[in-house]
Amino acid sequence: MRVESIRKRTLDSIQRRAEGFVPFEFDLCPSLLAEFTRRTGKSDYRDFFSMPFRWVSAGPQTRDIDFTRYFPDPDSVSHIDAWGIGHKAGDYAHFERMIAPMAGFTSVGEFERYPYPDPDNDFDWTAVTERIGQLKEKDLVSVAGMAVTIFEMAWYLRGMDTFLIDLMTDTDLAEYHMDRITRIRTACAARYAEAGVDVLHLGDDVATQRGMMISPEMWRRFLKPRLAAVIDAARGANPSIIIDYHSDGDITEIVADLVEIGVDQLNPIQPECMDPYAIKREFGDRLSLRGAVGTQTTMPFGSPDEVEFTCRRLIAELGKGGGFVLAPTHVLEPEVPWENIETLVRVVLEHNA
Amino acid sequence: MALLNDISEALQKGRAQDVKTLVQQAIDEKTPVREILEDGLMAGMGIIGEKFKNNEVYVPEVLIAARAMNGGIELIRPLLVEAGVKERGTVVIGTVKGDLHDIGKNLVKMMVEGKGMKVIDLGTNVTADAFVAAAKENNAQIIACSALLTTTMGEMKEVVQKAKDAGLHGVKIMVGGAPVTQNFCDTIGADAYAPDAASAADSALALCTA
Repeated sequence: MRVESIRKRTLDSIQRRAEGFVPFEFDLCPSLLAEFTRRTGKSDYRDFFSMPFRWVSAGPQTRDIDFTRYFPDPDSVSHIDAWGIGHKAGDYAHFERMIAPMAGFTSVGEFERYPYPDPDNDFDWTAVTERIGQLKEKDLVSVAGMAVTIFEMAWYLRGMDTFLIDLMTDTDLAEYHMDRITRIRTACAARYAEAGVDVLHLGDDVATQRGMMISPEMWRRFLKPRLAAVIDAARGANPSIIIDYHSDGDITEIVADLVEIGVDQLNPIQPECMDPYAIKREFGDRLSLRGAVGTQTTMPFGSPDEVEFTCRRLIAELGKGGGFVLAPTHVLEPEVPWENIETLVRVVLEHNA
Repeated sequence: MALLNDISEALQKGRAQDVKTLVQQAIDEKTPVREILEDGLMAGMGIIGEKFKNNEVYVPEVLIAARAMNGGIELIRPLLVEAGVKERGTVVIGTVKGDLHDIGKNLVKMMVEGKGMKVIDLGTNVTADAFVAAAKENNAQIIACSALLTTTMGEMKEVVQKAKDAGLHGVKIMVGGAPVTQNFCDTIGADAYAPDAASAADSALALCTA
């Protein structure tokens, strides 16, 4: 019996070297994870369903810094992460509110004094190198999680409205802040690439479902060059690293820009607002697609038959020439029927058999 | 009038200080306050709304325009009261229970205020009961519900039901947010769906003045 390496087939597919095999993946919210465990008695659905991708992350690790002084009302914050962003659990499902530590800053000096994480001291690179090696041995593909790369990290720290206004009226603050984040990201991108990670996952939600959240010109001025620097840093350390880029919403206007600066794979291509087939037609020779199964339509509200029809069509058309990972466009939320998840898995496994 | 046009232009560019200066000038020149409001500030915000709808301007431009508008309104508020200029309606707005997203809801609020309506903003994670209570308390014509998640949009049905149970028959329920559709609006028996913030403001005004 010939045992094909899933890792090799997956990498061949996302680098468009082979067609046929379609990798797949999905994320389950905590209540669906509980449902999975109830049905299977297992705790790891990625293992159970033989999904090829596994996350690696070096951090930032928990830091011994008192961030509470950045919050006018520290009691309103239930948890502060290693970047200093405050979190407060909502009272429904896994949703939480974020509280920005830099909301009150008015001068570059305040940004300068802020304890941004240090790429050398606040990240654990030894553990990442080990984990990447272990994943390779297990015939799995390693993906370094570095989403919330620049734009989103900037506003998580600063507050969304405030940061968007900075981009219009206080560009010196916005640029200083983004540069600090970009420096951390470029250093980490290089470290992940040196450690031998297969895929570097980057992402910033820069669009709504009606189009770009900021103008394409603003994105090209402030974000494109910084994102390009992060990609270049990774490629400089490992030319064959795969760059996966995520943005929710309709980013049709900047897909060509993303390809130009070296993005290899786009995620999630929300079918409710973007046409994955059109993106495949226009960019399919240069760009792979990961996602495209609607989580506002097909997964929560479609019948199993509709899930099957949608997945078969996506596999047939987006899988041409390779370059397609079948995946829901977002974590599957509590209202997604289990039968729909089973259908997705069955369809893709039948195709790959 | 050139000055009112200048107010509109400055507002569209989000120049808060210029708007204040020009509004003060208009006040000093004894321009009727209703004209400053409607032909200056609201005219400018209306243009921003249309451009936003057409993807000619984006969220940051809307935010600074709304900020400039608020600065202008602050200056004329006492005069509006004095002149007996009333809001064109009252809208209770919020993101439904379980949902903590607010940028979309805030944009709708800005656009609705830009149409000269009063907005009672209940924030995020708002229960159906809270929507109903606020609508009663403020004699609102409209309850506007936002949701970003398929998980939480079902809560809108609860709002429709609770409003009915409370006998708020005159109060119209508007729904919006990324996963919400006209079909969903019809299914839950809400009165209006809007696909974007500017359209929501147009619908709200139409419902208030119908």
